[in-house]
Amino acid sequence: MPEARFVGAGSAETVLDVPNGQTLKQAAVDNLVPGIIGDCGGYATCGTCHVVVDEPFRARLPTPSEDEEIMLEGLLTPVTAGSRLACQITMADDLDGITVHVPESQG
Amino acid sequence: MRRSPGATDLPPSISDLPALSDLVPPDVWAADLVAASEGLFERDVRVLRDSDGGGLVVVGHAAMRALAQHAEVGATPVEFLTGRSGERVRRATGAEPGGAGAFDAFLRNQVFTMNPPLHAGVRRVVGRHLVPRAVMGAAGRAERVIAEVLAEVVAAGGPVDLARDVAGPYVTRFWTGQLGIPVGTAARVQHLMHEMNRMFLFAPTVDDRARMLAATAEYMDLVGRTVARAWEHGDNALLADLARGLDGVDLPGGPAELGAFVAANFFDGFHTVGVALANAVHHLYADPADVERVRRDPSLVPAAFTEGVRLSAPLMLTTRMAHADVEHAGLRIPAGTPITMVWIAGNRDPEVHDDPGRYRLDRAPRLGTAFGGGARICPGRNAARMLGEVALRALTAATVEVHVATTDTGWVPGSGIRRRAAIPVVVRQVAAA
Ligand code: HEM
Ligand code: FES
Repeated sequence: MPEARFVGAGSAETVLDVPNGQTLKQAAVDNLVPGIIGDCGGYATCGTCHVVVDEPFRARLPTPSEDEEIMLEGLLTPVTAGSRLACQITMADDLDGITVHVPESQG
Repeated sequence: MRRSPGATDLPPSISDLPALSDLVPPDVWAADLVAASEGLFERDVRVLRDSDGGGLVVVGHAAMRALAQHAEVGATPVEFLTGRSGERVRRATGAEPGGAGAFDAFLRNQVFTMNPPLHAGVRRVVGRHLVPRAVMGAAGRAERVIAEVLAEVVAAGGPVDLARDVAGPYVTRFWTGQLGIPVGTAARVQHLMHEMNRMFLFAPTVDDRARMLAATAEYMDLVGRTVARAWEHGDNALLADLARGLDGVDLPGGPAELGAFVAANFFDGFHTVGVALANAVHHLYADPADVERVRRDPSLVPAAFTEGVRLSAPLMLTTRMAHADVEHAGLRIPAGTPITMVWIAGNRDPEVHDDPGRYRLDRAPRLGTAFGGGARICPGRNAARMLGEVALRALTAATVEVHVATTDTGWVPGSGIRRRAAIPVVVRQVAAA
């Protein structure tokens, strides 16, 4: 099963096996990864599952939808080139080993 | 459907669920939804059959979140809402309701009643202006307005009502300012909100209904007209952007007029936020030690707002509807089933919150249900939070003293809105310590 690595604000790491087809938000919430809230349940309408994706995985992700873009642009926490919503990242073989950084706060 | 964590298995059919009216007499339910829900938790009942109409009633946190997030659990059509509201009058009074034209337009323009394919696009038109960054850009206006309102009540000297004289004027002046509505109109809008509040009554009289319909008609006309005028004037960027957004939604049945659209969708901003603020103040000031803690440490203000809204979510319940057959924890919910989400109960479920009825500033944050959930989660919640926090910061500032005369006035019964009958306060300016 492909793996995802969540790096928290205090550098605490959680490595999870995430089945293909599951979103990183769901894996994080199911496994109580600190800092991922996921209030809207995965519709890109709450912005509480913001993560920053490491290279080389950024280019392997589909471009953000309009809702994801609106949400990311509207966040108060710093948004960088690798910023994505974890609910919009669906695990697949080519994402095996993906590392995402969880910001200090959401919203 | 994924099994939601903590959800116990339910029987396969709605008809096998316990009936709400068997466990809670209707007058007890209408009188105090919170106490009634607490009684259900004691019996370990979280999903019920609505004996009145074949729908579901959900009080448990896990089931509520799972169903709210389900893609097929959408909005209830306008016909259902207007039909039910007429039925309530018929039942309470035997009279035939009539004259609901403006109420119908009010509901039809709300994102709240829209379903796919219309819903997401129209929601985006409003939602993009309510993201955290956009909302924080308006915090300065909120600070100015609360300062102005507090100066007025300090000057008045005597006791005032927190909801009517502080929270209400604050949120209506804030939103009228944002939406280009003349400030002189704010007091009238606030009055109309109060009258429109009768739409949430469980057993309205003919008079309640007539007053609600008259207020809705005047509100839609007043706000609709003034917003349209401000937009034509061309100097309100928010209105210009909302108008452009609406133009971009070219699906049949979409909102056609900017004024009606703004009036319908910012209703919660005018009204619900004021109630939320009043409820948050009520809970905070119930214990002087909590007030002192927040005064000494303003970083507790967000917790004070969250905890107030957790205990007393202003919009206690709304009804969603299954648009396809849905399965939850073994229960089959046929398409067309109305699902009443008792949002206020989800926030008091002991499966999720320790000692749920207690106000605690140090409560670890948990996902709340006061703002709904899933794709339809309230887009206004960031604005509500900003407005609530700005006001609580002002009220607990070192230079302000708020004396709550009595916390013993009771919650208004028989309504889907949780609000106190009165919160008499005296607000004084004091020298900073
Ligand atoms: C404390 C204040 C507020 C509370 C408690 C509240 C509560 C709610 C709830 C429970 C829902 C239903 C969500 C669901 O079905 O999952 C909702 C929806 C909605 N609210 Fe709020 N609300 C508040 C403030 C606001 C504000 C300030 C605005 C706009 C300025 C707003 C606009 C809306 C809209 C447009 C919807 C429909 C969303 C949809 O169906 O997609 N609300 N609100
Ligand atoms: S879970 Fe809400 S935006 Fe991702």
